[in-house]
Amino acid sequence: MLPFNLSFRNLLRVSIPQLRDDDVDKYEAFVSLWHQLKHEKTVLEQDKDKEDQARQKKLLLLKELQERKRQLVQEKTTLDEKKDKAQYDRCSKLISECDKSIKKCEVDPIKVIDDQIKEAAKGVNKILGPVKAQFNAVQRLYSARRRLALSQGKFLQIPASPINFVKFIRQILKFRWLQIITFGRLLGPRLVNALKEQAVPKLALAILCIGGISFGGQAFHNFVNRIHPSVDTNLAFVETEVNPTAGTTTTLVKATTKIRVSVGKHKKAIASPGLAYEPNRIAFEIMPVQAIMNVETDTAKTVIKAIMTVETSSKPTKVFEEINSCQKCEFKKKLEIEVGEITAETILTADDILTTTVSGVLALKAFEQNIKPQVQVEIRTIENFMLGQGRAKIAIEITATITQPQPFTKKI
Amino acid sequence: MVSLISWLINPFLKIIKVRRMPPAKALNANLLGLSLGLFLVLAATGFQYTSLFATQPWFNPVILLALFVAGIYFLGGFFTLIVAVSYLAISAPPAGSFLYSIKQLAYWNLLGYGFGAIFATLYNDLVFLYLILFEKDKIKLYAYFRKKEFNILKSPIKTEEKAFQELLSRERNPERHKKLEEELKLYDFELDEPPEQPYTILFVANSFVLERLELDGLSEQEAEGELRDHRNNPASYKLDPIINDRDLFYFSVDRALRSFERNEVLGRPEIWSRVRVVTLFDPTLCRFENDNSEPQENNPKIRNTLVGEFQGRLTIDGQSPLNLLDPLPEMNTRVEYMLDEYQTEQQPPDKRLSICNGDIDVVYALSAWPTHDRSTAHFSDYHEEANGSIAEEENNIAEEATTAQKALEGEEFTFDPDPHQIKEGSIVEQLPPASIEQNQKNQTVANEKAAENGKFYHEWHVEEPGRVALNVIGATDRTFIHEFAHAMSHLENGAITDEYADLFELESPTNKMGEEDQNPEPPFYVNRIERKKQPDGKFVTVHKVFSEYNCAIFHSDLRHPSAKENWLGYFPETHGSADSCIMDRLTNRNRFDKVISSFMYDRLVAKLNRHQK
Repeated sequence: MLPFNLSFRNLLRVSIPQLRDDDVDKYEAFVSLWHQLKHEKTVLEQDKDKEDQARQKKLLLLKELQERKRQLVQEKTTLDEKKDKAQYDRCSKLISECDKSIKKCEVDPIKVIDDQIKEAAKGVNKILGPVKAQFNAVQRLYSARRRLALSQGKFLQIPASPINFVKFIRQILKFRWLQIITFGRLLGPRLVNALKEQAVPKLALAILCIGGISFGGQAFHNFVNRIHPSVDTNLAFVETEVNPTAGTTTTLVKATTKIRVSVGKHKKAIASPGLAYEPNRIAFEIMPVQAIMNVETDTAKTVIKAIMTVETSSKPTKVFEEINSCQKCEFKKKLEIEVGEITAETILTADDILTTTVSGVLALKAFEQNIKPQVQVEIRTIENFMLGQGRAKIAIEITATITQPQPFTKKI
Repeated sequence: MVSLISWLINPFLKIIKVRRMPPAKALNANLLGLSLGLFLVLAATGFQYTSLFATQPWFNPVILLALFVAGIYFLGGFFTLIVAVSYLAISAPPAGSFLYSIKQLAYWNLLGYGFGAIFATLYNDLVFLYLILFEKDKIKLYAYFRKKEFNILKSPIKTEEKAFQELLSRERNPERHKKLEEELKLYDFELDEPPEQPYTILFVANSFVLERLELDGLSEQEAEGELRDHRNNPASYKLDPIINDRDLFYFSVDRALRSFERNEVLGRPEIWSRVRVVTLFDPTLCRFENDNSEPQENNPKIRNTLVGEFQGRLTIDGQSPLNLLDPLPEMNTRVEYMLDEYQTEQQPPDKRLSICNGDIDVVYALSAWPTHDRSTAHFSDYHEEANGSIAEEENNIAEEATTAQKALEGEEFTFDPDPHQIKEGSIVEQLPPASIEQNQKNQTVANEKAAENGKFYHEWHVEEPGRVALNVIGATDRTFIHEFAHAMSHLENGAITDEYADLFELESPTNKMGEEDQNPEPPFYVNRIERKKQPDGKFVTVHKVFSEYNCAIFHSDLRHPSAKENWLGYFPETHGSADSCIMDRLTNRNRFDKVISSFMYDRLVAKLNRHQK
């Protein structure tokens, strides 16, 4: 019997950190010893002739010893301890030696080996008893892993035949399944060990790692943000549920249940109208649009961007400042968009949805800034023409009117 | 392409060629695929960061990358399967969303894996083709019949290697035939005279495994009865997976051959050229899986079982923690029975076996039992009681009758575990005065034993071959040669034992210093000597001289832990300070001890020069 395979030993140590190298060594030694003792016991049991001879010899010797002891005891009783001390001591010594020899003769070698085997069992129990379930789990896992490794081919590294390929797949699944079902059992000792012995350094390391990753991630994110200033999608998220009572149009609520709006650098900017709005850094993503109709999200974005960057009379590019400063704001924009799978119905739907979307977004933007406007958007198709392969270009004119019913308060 | 072709045609080949390729750099398709997959994921994250993650919080890319790195590292190829399924499951996510990022990264990962795996496979194919076409002379092979139960993979008697001979017979030209044999044959040894009875190692695919019976809480007698019933109950025998896996069996045999031929004792040309390797793989035996009708030995299921889970009372809370696979006591009888079956006249001539049980020296029962993956071996001529097994009783009777005769048939050798006690003159002069004094004081159990007998025999024939229960799943290449050393040795004429176990581990009062030594005499171990207690109750120190074997002196290993005071035995020295013995714990360089090497060499040579029984 060979000691544990090194890879098994490694797996065992990793999975059950409570088992130290010495323990594993001892376990191996116990098992090997157990096996060796079993051999020796079998030899003793089977060598019947020799055993009988030896037993007879021993019996004779035992009888002689017992007789000698009896004589010595008799002799001793006749002696007076005070008068003949030397002789008396000699007798006592001889009697004790006889006792020792008798004791030795009475020992049954098979019984000695049996005792040793039991002790070996105790030794193994002591080492593996507390982690028996984990040990069995590791053994199963290791066995499945080895079996999987053996299923692969040799030089060409593929299973030798289609049947073997099926077996290979089965082994993979079996191994992964075992990994799953033994995970919980094997996690326990590792956690306990980590908490007991390595909690402080590991916790410190984990905090450092998380800190490092968060700092690095954020820094990288900012870096990308800085080197791509013209990219309109590089912004923080604000996710807002549309509230139908908050002034948005009914059609919006019907068409879109959730509008995701990305505005400014962070949320504060939204609450401070006019401070952080840079038209080319505003992006909208209307999630359901793409799912509902054939107009791509990009198209919807283009339309919205166009509206938000529309030049108004007073301050170009700042739509909401315009809204703030006057009670009514109106702007117009012409643009051409491409749509796919164009049909009469699509165009109709596209117009409808675009209208809804733009209205909704504008309303929402206004609502977020404590404006409760009435928004009216009209999108008129000027012309459309086919581009081939089911795609078409539509020229549309967008007219949006936002009415501010109440005076705007800047502070929120 | 080559892979695919070989994959498809392998099941239809009559003769399987096992090639030993020259060292060539082959790529691991899975690893290369995984590496490229990860590389592309990282590259995509870097180059497409803005389109993938710009609209997402900063931690999303971190989480995703961590997921990919951990998945590839921990799950390997399986992660690719998960990625493929995820890629197919996620349909048309909105651009810029988290799902969109996952899908994109999955796409790059799959692309990288696919490219890497295909590239590696094609590269390996090309290397394989190159070797086959242009480096023919460096490729050596042996062959076996795919469908035959018996195969002789190598033999000093060339005609016995039938599969290889059939391969050669396709070449009609005699000169070319001879040249081809020289060019192709892996074990091509020119022997003037092949041995009459080559040293034979048999590999058998085990068909059923006897499950362990928990005996916790039972008395000796009750346990014996329970055990007997258990062994006679066919339901206790479970199908061994290896019997349905021919490729695994032959792959394992190939590993064994590699292990043997690389060993410095067994692999020596004068020995290895005369060793015969036979395999027995009969998948039809598994048809008895559900046959629980006939009890006891008549049941074919029981009759074909060679190994069992380790049966003993060493338990933890009633369960065995050992995971040992043990050869059954009846193993040799059953192998003999199997061999006899294939020698009967009813067998067609091409299936009839040319060897019998008496020709076999070591039997390896190969198993792929999933729960017990540690292998064990029993020495040659080692008998155990099988708890009421009829076959075993018959076997014991036969064994007793031949024991006396057997001892006379062999090469005599001398082994003296403590030469100073007998031949002080020759050795003592070589040692410093302190050692002389020390060695003169030393007394060992083995010394007394040797003084009684003095001479031993490398017996030519054994009544029971050494038997090994080897689990191919848990075995490394070293396991084969380690177990071989146990199995080829003899309990009476020199047993080779493990060098990492000792009684000192036990807490028994009998083994503590200064107390009464009650340990019985151990058998004759070639590589272990017991220390004996001195009158003052202390154990003797380790001898500097370990033993004298056939007039050669072997020293003890003073670097081994056994040289410490608390060990009760000690072992011979290794070849070099960096080496450790194959019978000891694993290290980087493993060789047999000097004394084992000599003993094993002599024993094998004696057996190779024996006459037909």
